[in-house]
Amino acid sequence: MPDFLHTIYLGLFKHMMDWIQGFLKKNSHQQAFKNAWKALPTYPGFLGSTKAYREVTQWQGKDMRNLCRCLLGVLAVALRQPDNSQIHTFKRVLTCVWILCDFTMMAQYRSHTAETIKYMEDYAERFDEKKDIFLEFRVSKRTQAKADELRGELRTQRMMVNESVAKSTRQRRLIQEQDRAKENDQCMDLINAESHFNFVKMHLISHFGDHIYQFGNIHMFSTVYGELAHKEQIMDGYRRSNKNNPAQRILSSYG
Amino acid sequence: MRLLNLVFLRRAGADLPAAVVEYLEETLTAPSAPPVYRRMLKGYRDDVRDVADFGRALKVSPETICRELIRYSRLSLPLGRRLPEHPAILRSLPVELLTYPKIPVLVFQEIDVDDIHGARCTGDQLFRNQASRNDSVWIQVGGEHMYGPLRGRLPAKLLALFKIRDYRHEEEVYRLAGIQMMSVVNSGRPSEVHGLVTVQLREYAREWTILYIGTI
Repeated sequence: MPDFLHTIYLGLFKHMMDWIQGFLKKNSHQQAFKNAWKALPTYPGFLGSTKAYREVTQWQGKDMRNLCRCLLGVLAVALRQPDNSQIHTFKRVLTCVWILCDFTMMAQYRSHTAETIKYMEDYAERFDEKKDIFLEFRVSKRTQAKADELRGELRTQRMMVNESVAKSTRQRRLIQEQDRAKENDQCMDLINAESHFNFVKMHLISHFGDHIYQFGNIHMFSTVYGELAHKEQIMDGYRRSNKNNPAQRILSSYG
Repeated sequence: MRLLNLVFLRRAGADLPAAVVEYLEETLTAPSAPPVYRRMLKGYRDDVRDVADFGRALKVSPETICRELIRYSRLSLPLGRRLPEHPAILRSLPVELLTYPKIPVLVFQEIDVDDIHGARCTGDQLFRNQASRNDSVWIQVGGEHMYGPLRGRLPAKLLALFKIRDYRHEEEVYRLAGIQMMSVVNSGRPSEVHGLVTVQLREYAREWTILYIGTI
């Protein structure tokens, strides 16, 4: 059963935010994102945040639901002034986030037709095609170690070669820059070859359509209701009890 | 999946098989009219009695308020029920200032269920010892064909909610809102990059616009 809370909100969106933070850091747009995020006003059903995204230590389902509503707008504001070299990348990032947001919106429908399910499946497919833009930010620790090792080896080789050839300072600097570019390219190739998006939550969204055909809308099976009920029915009951045989007390308060 | 009744299916222009129509007609009951919700105004502020007080409380010049009230009166009210245009009389009209409108919003994918949204407009006053709140609201400014996906609605900043009583016309009460309208960029067409419609607060736009509360 796909669980909306843990698959989408605390799954894909949580991963997506990590990738976006990496992307913003790489392109030096973190401050713009932070400013746009903090400037969001409160609205009925939406609680604006007074903290920056990175300052929040624990994300609950409710917070992630708020984030889904405003993520695309905030990101669009943060990436609104790209350089010439950044235009294409920014466009691809925004498109990818746009598709995921649209998929999330469609998956929340409480009533579906064949057409809405088709839309949802199309969004899932398009997200699958476009997500590669974030591949470099999905580096595992093992891949990062390999990349560092490769970088070290290349640097040693380069030093050995450069020492044997005596050249002017300008020529040496030019060669160093070229070597560094080559080194980066090779490391990126390694990262792209080793990184992947093969994890369960990413795969689960491809089954949402089938699930709706078989059992009905996705929202019905979300664990958010169970977790809310747990707080009200169990935790509050436990707090009211004298902690001595609390199960009996909890049951009797709902008897 | 939700079951739709015959009235709704016919309205949507569905091509139904004859057997289905016959069966549904047998089981059809008289449709109940959807409940009509009024925009309720709450959060009465007792420091405002007339238009002059109203301007003072919101830190807006009474001339601006009078000018906007006259503009609203000329554009929206029938000839016999217009507000007085003499500044001295207009300033003395009793006003009630409120801070909390309850706005019914149709629930997505429903045709007769409303969700009540509570916006806030506290003016300069703090909201629960935090920053003041002047929430954004949607205003129906035109037909459904306008502004593309916005369907004739534009966002606006809610500055004040008030009732003004015209004692000359059998205690007529007008429920009005003071707002600051935003304008839509690119005629309301969604951006090709992120698919969002952009709106902005223009510098040369009127700071205050008064309109009937029902357009929110």
